[in-house]
Amino acid sequence: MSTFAQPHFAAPCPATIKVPKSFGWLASLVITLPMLLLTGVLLFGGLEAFRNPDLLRLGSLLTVWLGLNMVFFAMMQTGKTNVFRSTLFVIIAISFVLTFIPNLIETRGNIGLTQTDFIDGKTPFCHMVIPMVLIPAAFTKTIIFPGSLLTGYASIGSMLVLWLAASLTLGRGWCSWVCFFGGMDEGCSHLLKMPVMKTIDPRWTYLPLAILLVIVLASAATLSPTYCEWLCPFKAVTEFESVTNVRTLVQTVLFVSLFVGLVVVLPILTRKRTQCALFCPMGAFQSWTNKLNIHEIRVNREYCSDCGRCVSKCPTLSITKESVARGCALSSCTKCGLCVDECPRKAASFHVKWTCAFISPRLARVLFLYPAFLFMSAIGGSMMVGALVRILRLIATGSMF
Amino acid sequence: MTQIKSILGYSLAFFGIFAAMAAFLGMPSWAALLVNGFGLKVSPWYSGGEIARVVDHGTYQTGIYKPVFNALIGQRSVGFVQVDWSKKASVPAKIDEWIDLDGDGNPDLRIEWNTLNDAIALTPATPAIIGLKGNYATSDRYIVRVDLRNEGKHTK
Repeated sequence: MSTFAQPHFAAPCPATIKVPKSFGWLASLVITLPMLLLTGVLLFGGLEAFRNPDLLRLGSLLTVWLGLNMVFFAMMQTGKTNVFRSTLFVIIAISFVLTFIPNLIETRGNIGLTQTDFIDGKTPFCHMVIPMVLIPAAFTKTIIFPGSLLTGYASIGSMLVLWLAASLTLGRGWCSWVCFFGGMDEGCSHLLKMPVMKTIDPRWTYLPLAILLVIVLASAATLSPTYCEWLCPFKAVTEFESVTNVRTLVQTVLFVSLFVGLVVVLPILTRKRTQCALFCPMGAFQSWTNKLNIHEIRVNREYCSDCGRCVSKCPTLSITKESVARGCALSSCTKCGLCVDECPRKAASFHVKWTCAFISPRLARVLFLYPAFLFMSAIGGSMMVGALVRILRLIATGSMF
Repeated sequence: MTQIKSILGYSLAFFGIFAAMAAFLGMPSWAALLVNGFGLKVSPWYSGGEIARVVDHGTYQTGIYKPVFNALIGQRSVGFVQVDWSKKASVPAKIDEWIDLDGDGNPDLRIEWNTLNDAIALTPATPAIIGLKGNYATSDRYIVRVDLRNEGKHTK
């Protein structure tokens, strides 16, 4: 029953086990240099940013680019993953809201969606819809979403490509490195030092699968994205249908209640990412992509003292005592790296499937962090730039627009 | 065998870096390839579907769409049909038009829409017409959607 009760330390934390996880200054710099180049290409879009030099935007781009690479360097140099990832993840979630809402106001006039917007295909496509669109797409060759296929902001085609590439490369790492919603409940989960609610019945972790099954079937039957229409907590901070009747009023109440409950209150009380672990159908869907993906978290049974620290700390309840005994995390693992950072005996590590376990954990970690950080930088970085531009504009002119 | 698997594993992991870069750098091409390759379209329940006929009025056009009854498999018994008036600037402020949905020469419904005060009236001329689903003014056209019975399905 108790999945994250206070850990009991079965064995003293030994200082004798030396598994190198970090790199020296020079090695970290050498590993960071290609990242500096690649993120530069992705963020600056070649030399486009320099051709039309908007100083505010250029300055923000440079700041974000350098900041991101300093974080990557710190990841390499300290050997710590989650503390840096988590900070960026929360900043990206805030940046997303700060860019998305002003963008909607600028392009559409308000954040409330109207039927006219649906007909015009002006709704940005969100990855949460993906599990719902696949069956109708297979049967009818249509996408059950009122967006644009190839043009405009967050087109259906570009988001599907992004999801495919990230899923093949990171598996459910998507949920801790790419998803721009996840940082919201992760941020709230850090607000208290100790959890108020110390136990969550592990059976709740099956709820996302149940929701996934229901919404996929309902969406196929109704040819409409039912999760977006009725259950998505993030509608509360993005966009939802304008309240014009009882149906839209009920929908709005549901969105706000779910957001407050799952993204704010429960993460604060449990110090867990409750919306990601106990509700999100997209997360449940992504768990299957972990099977296809080459990266995983492994626990070295020779070093593990069964202290339960990883079990108690995992923000998505993705490690159990049983899985530790098997030397791995569950398929719901989001590869956030917290267990790797927290393990006092350095038994948990990133691992590349099919390779000999625990031979070169540093190489396995770098091979995962490189694509993960590229996805995070490209998607989150552009949001951070957008948010920084808005904030600086607000300071300079008194208006975000 | 273990060595081959290890090499394959590390190669795939290394390939992930290229996959990430390729996804972003070739995004428009990949997206077009995906959408066109699978022949994907936005669901007609949102887009209004395919246009069946255009009535040219000289300065503006009336677009009559194919009825939308699409279901996951087969058809629904109730759907809608979309009619739109494009080149919005040239469309008369008061639209008054008999619409022949199926092109049999007999009008199926009449739309009277005063776009200035948004007063709209629908006059059905066939039993298949259920009622007005909605009327919308987008940036470039006026759109009306009419709820429709799927007579083909009932007669089967």
